[in-house]
Amino acid sequence: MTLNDKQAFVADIEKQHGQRLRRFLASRLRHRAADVQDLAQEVFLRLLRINHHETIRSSEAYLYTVAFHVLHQHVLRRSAMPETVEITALINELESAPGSDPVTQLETQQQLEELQGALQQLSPKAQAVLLLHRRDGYSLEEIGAQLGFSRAMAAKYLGKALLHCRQRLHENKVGTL
Amino acid sequence: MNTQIYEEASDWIVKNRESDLNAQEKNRFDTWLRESPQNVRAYLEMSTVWEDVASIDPSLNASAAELIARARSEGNIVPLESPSPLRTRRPAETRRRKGTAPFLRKVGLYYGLAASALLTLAGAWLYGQMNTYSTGVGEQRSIVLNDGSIVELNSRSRVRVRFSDAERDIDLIEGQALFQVAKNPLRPFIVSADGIHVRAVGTQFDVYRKTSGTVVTVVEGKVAVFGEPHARSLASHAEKGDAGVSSSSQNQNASTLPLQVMGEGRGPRSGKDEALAPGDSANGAIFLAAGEQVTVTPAATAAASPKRANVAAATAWTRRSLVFDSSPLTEVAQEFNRYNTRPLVIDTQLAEFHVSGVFSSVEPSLLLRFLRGQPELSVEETDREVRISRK
Repeated sequence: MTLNDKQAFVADIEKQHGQRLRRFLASRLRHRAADVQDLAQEVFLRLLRINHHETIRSSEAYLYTVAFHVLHQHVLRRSAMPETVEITALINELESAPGSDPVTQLETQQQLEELQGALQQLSPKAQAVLLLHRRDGYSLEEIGAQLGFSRAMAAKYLGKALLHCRQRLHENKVGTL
Repeated sequence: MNTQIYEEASDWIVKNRESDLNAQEKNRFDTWLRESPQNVRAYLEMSTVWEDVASIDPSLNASAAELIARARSEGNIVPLESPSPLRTRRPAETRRRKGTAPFLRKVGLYYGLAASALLTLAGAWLYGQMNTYSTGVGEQRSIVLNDGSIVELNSRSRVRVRFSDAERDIDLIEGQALFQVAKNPLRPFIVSADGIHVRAVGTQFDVYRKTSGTVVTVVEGKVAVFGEPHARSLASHAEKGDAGVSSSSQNQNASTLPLQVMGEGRGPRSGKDEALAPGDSANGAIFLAAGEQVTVTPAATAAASPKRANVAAATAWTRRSLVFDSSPLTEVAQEFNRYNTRPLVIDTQLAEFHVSGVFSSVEPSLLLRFLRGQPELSVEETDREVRISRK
């Protein structure tokens, strides 16, 4: 594949499957907190192997595609299946929604409950920005207009809210170990 | 743990999701990712949070209108103009407004003022009528009252709000609600359920109107529970309680001996605390502290004694969980049926069958799977009901 082909390919995956890919990864990572370190290491090494210019067009799409690939290979290794699987074949797996077994459902529920707990501790502004944006679909401009600050400020609150939630979830994990 | 990396990661998530990065930013993000595996990890973790926030049950948190009101007032809850049900403002509405020309906006302002004056009048007129809030099967909602108190209404529940200058009165007509009371010693907050009154100044408590009696659980603050025999007439116009599986005990509600539950604020108890009227203890008051619960049954009001309660379990419904600790199957069914349109019907032979566990109230299949896994039970599903009997 030429560089242009590769970029077009990744952009295409992102366009068609981006959201589902992100959700899939989120649900997989959610249950494998301990593995995230290894996964990140592997993804990082692969990113380094990819030519800098190839990733520039959409680093995020590249990141997720690679992470998805690595996760999948990890699963394949466990089940002693051949490692060489084309990314196009993997896309099919995205179509079948994960998380249908009861254990995963319970874990998911618990994770979401913890996240809900973290949300409750946010300042009213940070909580409003995060929920209005992610739950109610308000744009950052609209949130800014409603709450009386700039779009840049709304973005700042959004980042802070995310950071707080992650730290809280992390503390919970450390606390239970 | 390096907080800075996570700060950077969350900034990048927001940037990536909010707009197309320009060439320079793309370059910077790419370089950042290639800096260290820690950065990759932080970014992946952060994106999990980003996705998961959208997966949280939307009704668990305040409506958009409430969020905006709270954020605007820096955490102080802004009272609503009228007690009409809150509506979520859709993004499209805001967009339309933004497009209005300045001139039209000015005209709009006058109309707006006239309209709001009208609304205030209408609000005053509707005050006594449009103040009932209810939820359907499987629905939950959170209501901010105009004094700043918050009512979390569980599935299949109904409350009526009547506020005056002297008192804040709430009737729990059906079901269960968690009250987070805004402190105001001059205006006691009184919840009435089936002839029982829960009175508080500033506290948090749960009231569940069950067929077998009304359960009061104190989350924060203190309450006093006492009988109020002279108020027996109150019970006569109380409406029917929580619709349960067995309707045989419904009529007993009317004969419930009226009780009064009084609360005081979170702060240290002061002699002039409005909540504790003189003579309470003379009436045989039972005092409940945070973390305690009392079930007031029609038969034994005087003998009702506070128990150490699992507050997390009593308020688990706000997190969409059902918690059972060796509960009879009939009770499990009663709880389950509040959230599901296809009811569980328990064979009378199974009265002594007990269940422990935590189940999702929004995902009934988990409970059904659990029941099916019990060797003694047989589970028959039809379109209209799920029948549980002994094998």
